[in-house]
Amino acid sequence: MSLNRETFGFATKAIHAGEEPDFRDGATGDVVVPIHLSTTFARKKVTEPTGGYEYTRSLNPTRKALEEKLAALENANYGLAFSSGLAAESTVLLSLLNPGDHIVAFDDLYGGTKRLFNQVFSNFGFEISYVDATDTSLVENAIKPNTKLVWIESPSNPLLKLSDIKAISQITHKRGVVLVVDNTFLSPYFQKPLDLGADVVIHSSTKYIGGHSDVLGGAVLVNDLAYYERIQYHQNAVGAVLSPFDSYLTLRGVKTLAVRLEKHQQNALHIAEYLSVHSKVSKVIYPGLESHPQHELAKAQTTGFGGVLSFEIKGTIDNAKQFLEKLNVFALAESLGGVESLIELPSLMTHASVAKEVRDQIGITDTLVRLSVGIEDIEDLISDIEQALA
Amino acid sequence: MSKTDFSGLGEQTKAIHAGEEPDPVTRASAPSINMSTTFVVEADAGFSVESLDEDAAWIYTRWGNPTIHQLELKLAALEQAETAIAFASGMGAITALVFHLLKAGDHLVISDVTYAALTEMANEMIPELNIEVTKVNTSDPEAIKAAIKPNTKLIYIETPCNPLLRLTDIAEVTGIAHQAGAKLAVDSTFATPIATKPLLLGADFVIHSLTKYLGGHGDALGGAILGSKAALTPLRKKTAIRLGGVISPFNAWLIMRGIATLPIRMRVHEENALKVAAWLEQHPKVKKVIYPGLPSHPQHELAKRQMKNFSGMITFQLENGNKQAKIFAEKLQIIHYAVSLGHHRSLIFYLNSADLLESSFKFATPEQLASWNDFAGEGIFRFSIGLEDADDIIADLKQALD
Repeated sequence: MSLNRETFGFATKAIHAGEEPDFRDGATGDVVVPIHLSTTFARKKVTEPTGGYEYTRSLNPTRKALEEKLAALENANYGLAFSSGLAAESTVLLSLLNPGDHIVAFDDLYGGTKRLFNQVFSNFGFEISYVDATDTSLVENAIKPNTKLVWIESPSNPLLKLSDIKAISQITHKRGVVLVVDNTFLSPYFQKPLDLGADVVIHSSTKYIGGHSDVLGGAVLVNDLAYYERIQYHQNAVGAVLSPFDSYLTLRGVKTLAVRLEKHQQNALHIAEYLSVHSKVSKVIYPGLESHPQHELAKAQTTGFGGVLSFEIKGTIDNAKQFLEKLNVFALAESLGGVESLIELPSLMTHASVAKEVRDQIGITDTLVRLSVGIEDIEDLISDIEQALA
Repeated sequence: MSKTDFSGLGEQTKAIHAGEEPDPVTRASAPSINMSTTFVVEADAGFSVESLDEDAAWIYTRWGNPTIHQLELKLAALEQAETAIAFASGMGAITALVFHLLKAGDHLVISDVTYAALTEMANEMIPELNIEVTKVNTSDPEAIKAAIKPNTKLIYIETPCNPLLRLTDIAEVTGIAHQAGAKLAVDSTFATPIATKPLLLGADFVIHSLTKYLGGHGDALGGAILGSKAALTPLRKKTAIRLGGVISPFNAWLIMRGIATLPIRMRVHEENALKVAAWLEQHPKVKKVIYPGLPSHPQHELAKRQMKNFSGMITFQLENGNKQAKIFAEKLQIIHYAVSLGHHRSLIFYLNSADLLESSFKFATPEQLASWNDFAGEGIFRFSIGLEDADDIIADLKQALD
């Protein structure tokens, strides 16, 4: 009897998919994929690339192992790995759009993505409209005849607003528009946008997928062969590919994705509940709290709430700065999704490039703090916050 | 040096942060890999390792390296040890310890069942240096007492031992060793610091093969010795630096990265092992299952007392083990038929008793053989339960067994 690999549990796939030991003659049976550093591949026959490999930019065995593993985890047919999340995004935009095309994007996107849209792609004649995608009808109303993409993050960064992926996909499918979902904040362990109807999933694999804050990367997952071929063509043509070494580190991180994410979530929920009743905190935003306005949607479309939460400190920006600088276990740093806890002040750090009036309008106040809750012992995280808030 | 005091913090916090202060120059949050073999020094730096003191500047990577040092600090924090020295492999660590502590004319009492490479070293290399060796079943304190001689300098145990998963009472053996003026070394590879901290129970040295649970991903060899500064500072100068079995900075970094998830991995290894052990125990083709977390383990009470986590190693006997080993090698699909253990992947390997008794465990007494036979019979499958979903591991075993 052969086991059905399609029905393997998430943890089993995270460990085994893409990394089957090679038992062919001359192969070694190694149980961990080697780091194939070769940039070029020799062939015996002029017209036959050996095993499909020609040049590492087009395909590399270590990168392929990662691409297959990520595809298995997102229930996708195809995966592609890039040198950063933004490289993945740029390549998708170049692959799927032509000048004159229109994008409908969530107004609470990651600042780097907005910068890519506003400062780079707008120069090439792409048109972009931002809407509050928490309201599906606003997305629908923004779609025009030249709209090619709807681009959302759910939950969003840093306000953790949710979009109803299934409802939006029903609209985009009806209108012949491609739905792109950035799944970085939850990872496939907690959310599978393709299963909910999205066409393209994007990841910054620097975050939870890599998980150790030591490797940049991006990924694109699709089910449709035609999209895959177009994006793969551009992956090779543009060349923003993930290095074999970084592919390996990312693969290594994925093996513990399930165990890490369980702990991230458990800690985040605990901290969210702790902060909710703290006298110096005016507001806590975490999809796992019943107080989150979209808690029911979170329960319906995800299998977990992730490890990121935001909260507002009472007082001024100086109170927020004092709190951040007093922390010992939480490192004051941008990025998220690593095993170690990170904390930041979006108004002065990740979202400083967003104009203050825009920040105020979408809810990124001066004292809003974003936490990427790590997998340390919860008692140590709580005591750190407690002493810094005191 | 680490500025933060980790002694009061939890295991998972230590696993992530100990040894890994942000880089003082770049403020990099994740540790760098420092591959430099040599370091620019002051004109008056000494050329002999004898001049090396604790806060000396970095000189040469075999003597010490910033990345390796970070790993050593992390290991020491987890074992609550004063200090740690990392090596290129577990055997590299064992060799450095044995040849540092023992000289010609000394006597070593060692467990009669250990990792086979160590047993083989105790059969040949150690006696060839005119060091006396007595192998005893260390799960029996009386056998240890009987083996002690005036020249006994070291008692060496593994708990749980490889491959039988027989346990030794560390606190009790500490008493015997210290009464006799000998040191106690404990190989805690199978337990990990998440389960057991032998130094807190009185042991003088802890040994780890970092290749196993601590590294955890099957991609970096490494070993370590942990203990007091008074004991390990001279060891570093002598057998570590001079025998040269030091760990590569790259492996040190990979192992550090592995340790960040050690506590949560161990929780799942144990959870999965409990499920798989219970499933094996009720299977009609399984003759015997040995797992410290099962009430059927003959030392389950000791396991509960000495291990906070029963770890992920199971051994079991099947009818016709040799034949079943071939079937497993061919038919298992998730579980890899391969040596080593403690990885994210499940690994299984058959150990035929007759072969092992001839090559490695040459028992001196009928009691030793009887204990082996009780645990292992004609042969055992050593099964390292991985982090996959337990249901998938069981389904794979089932399709290969049925």
